[in-house]
Amino acid sequence: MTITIYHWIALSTLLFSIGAYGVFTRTNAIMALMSLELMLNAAAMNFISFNYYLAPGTVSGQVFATFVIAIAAAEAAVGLAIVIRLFRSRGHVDLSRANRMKN
Amino acid sequence: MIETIAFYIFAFAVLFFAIQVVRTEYVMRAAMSLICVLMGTAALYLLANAEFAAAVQILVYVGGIVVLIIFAVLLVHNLGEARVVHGPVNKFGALALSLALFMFTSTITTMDILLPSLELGPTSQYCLVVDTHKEAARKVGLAFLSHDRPVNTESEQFNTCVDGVYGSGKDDYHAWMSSFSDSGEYYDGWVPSFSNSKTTGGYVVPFELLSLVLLAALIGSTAIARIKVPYSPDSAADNREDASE
Repeated sequence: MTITIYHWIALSTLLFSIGAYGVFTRTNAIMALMSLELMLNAAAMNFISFNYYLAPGTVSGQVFATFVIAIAAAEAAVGLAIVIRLFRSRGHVDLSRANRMKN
Repeated sequence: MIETIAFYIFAFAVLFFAIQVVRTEYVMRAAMSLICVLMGTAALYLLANAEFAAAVQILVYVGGIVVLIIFAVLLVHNLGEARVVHGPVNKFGALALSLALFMFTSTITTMDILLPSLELGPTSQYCLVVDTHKEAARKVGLAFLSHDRPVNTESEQFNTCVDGVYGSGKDDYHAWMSSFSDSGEYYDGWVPSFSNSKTTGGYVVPFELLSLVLLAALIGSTAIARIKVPYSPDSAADNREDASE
């Protein structure tokens, strides 16, 4: 009944797949970005679990999870800026209709 | 035992709220579910002895990214109030594709060649709590601030834990540790490094580079969002194209 690394891998892979399903089905840009955050979160969870089981006592997994979180912050900032600009110029945030960047 | 129960509770909560994020029709509800997912993940990090990552998860993800998302929702007119109508998407195709992704990724990740000698991993069998929280934070700080300094585990703590908790398995632990060094020997406090170097190294250069990346991304996003653009809604041709789909 102990938790093995396979439990963690199952959890993070399921989380990644759920995020991928969201990215596939969402056409609202902000909701697609939220699904993308789920996928990044699953990747960071893999770093933590592999650190815990394969290299205990070290902190490399936590450091890389921190990097993943910081990259996610940068991605969210740029993505939401693009969303806001898209809304200002086009009046919607529908990804399936956002087919041009210039006016 | 209590860790097992806590893991299952948080894991199912995380999966439930993740499904809520991708299923619900309301943007604010999706954002709240995303907060629950990230907090549950932080709790799981605490179970994996990753206190620093749990703190960063709550501070940056919940306190930063989700708040940014909610700001964007509020800046986009009416998005937070109404149901979001999504365009025509093939949901069965997306479901099949994500299930195939799950099968492929889990098969690849659990292949034996990628998980060497997993059954000898000390944490899973011998000791659940290696560090005190203060010690864990100190090690993460050292890893961030140094470029060549070994980040030692506190070996006496670990051995006390090995002896005190389970009382056996120390030989297995020594075999596991020595399998990582060239000479088959290791000194107290040496951390098994997966390269051949005897130091785990630090992360000061990637950390500074990451600061630059984040700064550049934030300045760029400010520039993108601030430029005044003329409002030019979709032309009639675009709308006809959408209606015909």
